Amino acid sequence: MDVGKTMFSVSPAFTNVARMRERFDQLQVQLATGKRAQTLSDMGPGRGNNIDMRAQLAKNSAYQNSITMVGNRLDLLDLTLARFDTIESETRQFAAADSSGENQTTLTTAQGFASSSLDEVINLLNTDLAGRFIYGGTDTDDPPVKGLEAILNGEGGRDGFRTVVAERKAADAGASGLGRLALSASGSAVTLAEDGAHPFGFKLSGGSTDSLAVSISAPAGSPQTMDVTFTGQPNAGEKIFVTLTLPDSTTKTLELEATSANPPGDGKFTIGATTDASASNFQAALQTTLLQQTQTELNAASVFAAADNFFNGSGDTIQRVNGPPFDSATSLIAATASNTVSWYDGSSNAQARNSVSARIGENATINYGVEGNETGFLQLVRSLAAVSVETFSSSDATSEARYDALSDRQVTRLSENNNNSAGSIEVIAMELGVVRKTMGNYSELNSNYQNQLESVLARLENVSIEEVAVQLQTMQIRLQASYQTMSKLSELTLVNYIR
Amino acid sequence: MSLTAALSNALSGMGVTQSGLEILARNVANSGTPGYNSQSQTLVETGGANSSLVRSAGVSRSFDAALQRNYSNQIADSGYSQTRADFLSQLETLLGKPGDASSLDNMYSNFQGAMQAVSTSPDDYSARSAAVSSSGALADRLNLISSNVQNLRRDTESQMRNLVNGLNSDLSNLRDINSRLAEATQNNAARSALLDERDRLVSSVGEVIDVNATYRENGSVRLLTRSGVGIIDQKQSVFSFQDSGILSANSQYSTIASDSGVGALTLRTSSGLQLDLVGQGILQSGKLGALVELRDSTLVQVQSQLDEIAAGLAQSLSSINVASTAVTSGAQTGMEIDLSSLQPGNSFLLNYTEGGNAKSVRVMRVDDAALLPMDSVGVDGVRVIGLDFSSGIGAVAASLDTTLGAAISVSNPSGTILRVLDDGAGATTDIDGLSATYTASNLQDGNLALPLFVDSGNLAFTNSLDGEAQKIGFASRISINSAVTFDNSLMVQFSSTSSLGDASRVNDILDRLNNSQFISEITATKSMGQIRLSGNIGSMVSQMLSFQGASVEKSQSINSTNELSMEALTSRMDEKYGVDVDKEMAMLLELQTAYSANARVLSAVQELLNTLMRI
Repeated sequence: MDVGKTMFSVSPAFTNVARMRERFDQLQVQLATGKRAQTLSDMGPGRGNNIDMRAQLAKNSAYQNSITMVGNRLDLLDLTLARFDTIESETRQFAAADSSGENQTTLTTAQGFASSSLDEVINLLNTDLAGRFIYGGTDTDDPPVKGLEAILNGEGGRDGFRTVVAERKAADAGASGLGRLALSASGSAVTLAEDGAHPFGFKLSGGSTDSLAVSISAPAGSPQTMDVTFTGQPNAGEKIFVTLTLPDSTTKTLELEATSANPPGDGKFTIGATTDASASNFQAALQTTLLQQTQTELNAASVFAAADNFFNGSGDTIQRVNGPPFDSATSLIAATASNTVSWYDGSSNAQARNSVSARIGENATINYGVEGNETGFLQLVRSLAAVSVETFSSSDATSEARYDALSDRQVTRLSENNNNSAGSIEVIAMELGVVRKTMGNYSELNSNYQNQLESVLARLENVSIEEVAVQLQTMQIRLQASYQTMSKLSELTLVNYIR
Repeated sequence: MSLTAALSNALSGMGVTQSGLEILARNVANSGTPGYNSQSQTLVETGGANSSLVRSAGVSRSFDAALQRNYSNQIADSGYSQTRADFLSQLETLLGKPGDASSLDNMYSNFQGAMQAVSTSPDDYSARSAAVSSSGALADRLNLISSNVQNLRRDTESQMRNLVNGLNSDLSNLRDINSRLAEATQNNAARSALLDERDRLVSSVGEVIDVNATYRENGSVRLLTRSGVGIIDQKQSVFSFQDSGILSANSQYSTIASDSGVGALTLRTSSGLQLDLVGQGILQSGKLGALVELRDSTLVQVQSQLDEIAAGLAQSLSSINVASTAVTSGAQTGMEIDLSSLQPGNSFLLNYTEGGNAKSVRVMRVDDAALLPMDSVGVDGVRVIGLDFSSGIGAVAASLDTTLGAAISVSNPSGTILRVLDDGAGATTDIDGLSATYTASNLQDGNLALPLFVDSGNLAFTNSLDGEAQKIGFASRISINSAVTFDNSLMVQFSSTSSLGDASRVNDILDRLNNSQFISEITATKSMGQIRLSGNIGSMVSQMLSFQGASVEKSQSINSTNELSMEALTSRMDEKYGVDVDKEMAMLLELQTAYSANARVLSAVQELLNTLMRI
């Protein structure tokens, strides 16, 4: 038979004391934990708020962690960008320092300097923070840029930069070495003609003269031709200018001066007996000049054009000369993954910064992606690679002119005037600086919010130690009094007094 | 003769004192016995022929019917609230206090935090691994709470069985006592003992099942439940409890005996009538009432809330939307959509305007013929139609076409395409929108959705209604997709060519967790009224914990109120029925004195008589 414990004749006094004891124990636990409620039900109606606030706190701390993590990455980016900037200015200084010198040390060290700088740039682009590659845009798990050897010399049966340069040089120079121009004379007219409608070699841009005896027609037709017609004999000292456009979009103006001397010397042509003779002298002089220019200016332009083709930017494909045969090639063709090394394997987005983003707040996302093929890095790599594949020696007559042409182009491409264009190193650094500022603001907001929430939670949950201590004291006194009374009462029974 | 009168007076006095002592001794001996009502002697002055004597008129047992009735009521309520408080405090321990490492809300926050860390560093193996383990911990927690809730339900059944056995034996004892009390041929002492036993048994029965007791003249008692069903009078009713086998989340009470998955509590009255105690609402209070309510209502509600949260977790991450394309055919315009990926439980939503009123219809794939036809209003207020897709979309289109009326034409132009067109020239209807949702099953097909939380056996959770609804008990089965546990890069790589640094999938997961809104069914319990969970998963967790916390708090406060009332009653009963040892001792002194006085009188009379005889 189950007898309910409520039927035991326990005096109410005892149960009250038991209850007091329970309360006393509760107060002790409160004092020890510092919290008013020990279980879900004790928390009272505020438990819903409590739960929501805790969820908010957890989210906040997750955001703060993200901010710290991104901060580390931004630090590394700042460090490496500063180094990039230094390399850029060093290269510029080196190139500008001795542009027309006969200083042999410049020539012999130029290629080595460019090559080691390029190696450093490649290593910087492959910087990783604990396995996360920061210059690859979205592709953070693999190094974005291939090694120097692979890029310059190719690997695994795929062609490298050197091959692409060689092909382009051949295509631009043409079989005749005249830069894909044909020179002919008939009567007193000299005709310059491009040998086809294609992107290679010299393109006629125009001509002018300060002689009244010479008329120059504007380039016309496709492929273009222009005539220099000797309607009379030019005077000595008068010049004929022919402007040509080079494959890397630079221009060069050839200057030929009429002279009566024979032999005429460099850059001059002899005024002949007849206009026909002058024309043919002019043609010969032009031919010599063209041959020279092909080996120097056009060579440099060729290398840079090849660099532009091989080191492709965002949205472009790698281009190669469509051939063999290369010296009569008429078009560029897109390279495939199997025949050419692709120098950059990271992601390519129109907006490079959007390639990597992080959430730092409820509705706040920051974008801090950097891609290795943004314009700043691209120009640096192109300039350095162009010089790296060329060889210069003091015994080679064209070395100086070649080097000058190359270094001029380097200086233009790496000049500070480009700092404003999107994707330049300075712009990247500035954009990342803005990101850091935003992050700092959010970090402050988050930590303020965190403090607020924590203080509200503490106020709701925590008990004041003093209050609990006083209650404990009071309870203790009451308990002691009750215990004493109970023991006295239990002795007070008539049974003790009956003999 | 005055001397002999004096003699007989003294003798009667001594006899009465002796019986008084006997009663006093009995009282003192039983002063600590639970359920013992103090007895006292009734003394009556009797007039004899030529003397006046005192006679014991019997033992009166202290008893107050009104007080006893109060007590029986209160004990049922105390039993009820005590049982509830016990079970619910175990539930409270399971759920944990918010802020504790193992509480449900903390686990959910950890899960979100770990996902946030992966979003910032998707290429970091350890971040992904932490995310997988925290989601596993969340699923495990849901499983644990769920299985413990079902254990609690099983406990209620085993307690029910024990209580029913005890009840039946108490009732048979009570029947014996009733029949013995009905005979008037007993001595008083035995009778009082029987009455004490009767009261004890009534209280014992009253704790288990709420009773109304009626006491007859002869002391026998008649018990009815508060709802009026007779339990015992001359004959007793027999309670029985039949096991149902393994109790799981799917085992719920049904008035149809064959569908009911829980144990059956029945009462066979003395006239042979069989009553279902649960179905007919006979139990209003008492321990049995509390156990039944816990098993069928309170704990079922907890389970269903857990299931809603688990279903929300699974669905928010794995749902993929299918967009429709606009289509025209002659003068009719409308939309068409490809339904090939829809599984049972997935649905598509059609919004259209008819006669100027905007209407919505959700069509759910329900392949179970036992559930069809299905056309009702869902929890979000949208009309839900269930259709069988297993025999092709053509059948679906035909059925829907008929249901929606002539102004909307639904067809199946080819394969699994469903085309909905308005009435063209009639211009009374317009198709406003058509979209479908299905559950992702492939982890790397280019969709950002990730079936991270799945049903047991790596099955996708599609909220299917076929057979047994998939949602019921899902919280005990939810687990992490084993493919993700094996290769945690699947958490980031949504296609075989996407990079590990691309955080799109994880960012999408975070957005879905924040933004997916759910609405649950309304569940109601007697003590806490109605509740429905709604909002995103975080708010559902918060609402559930809040609600259960309030429920536990309420049960505890009701319990302490009842305890206080009980105390007040027992102290009153103590006063009325209890043995006050001091009073008995005082009485002892009196009786002692009276006895010695009577004895003295007796010896004095004897002396006088002797003196008389010697004359």
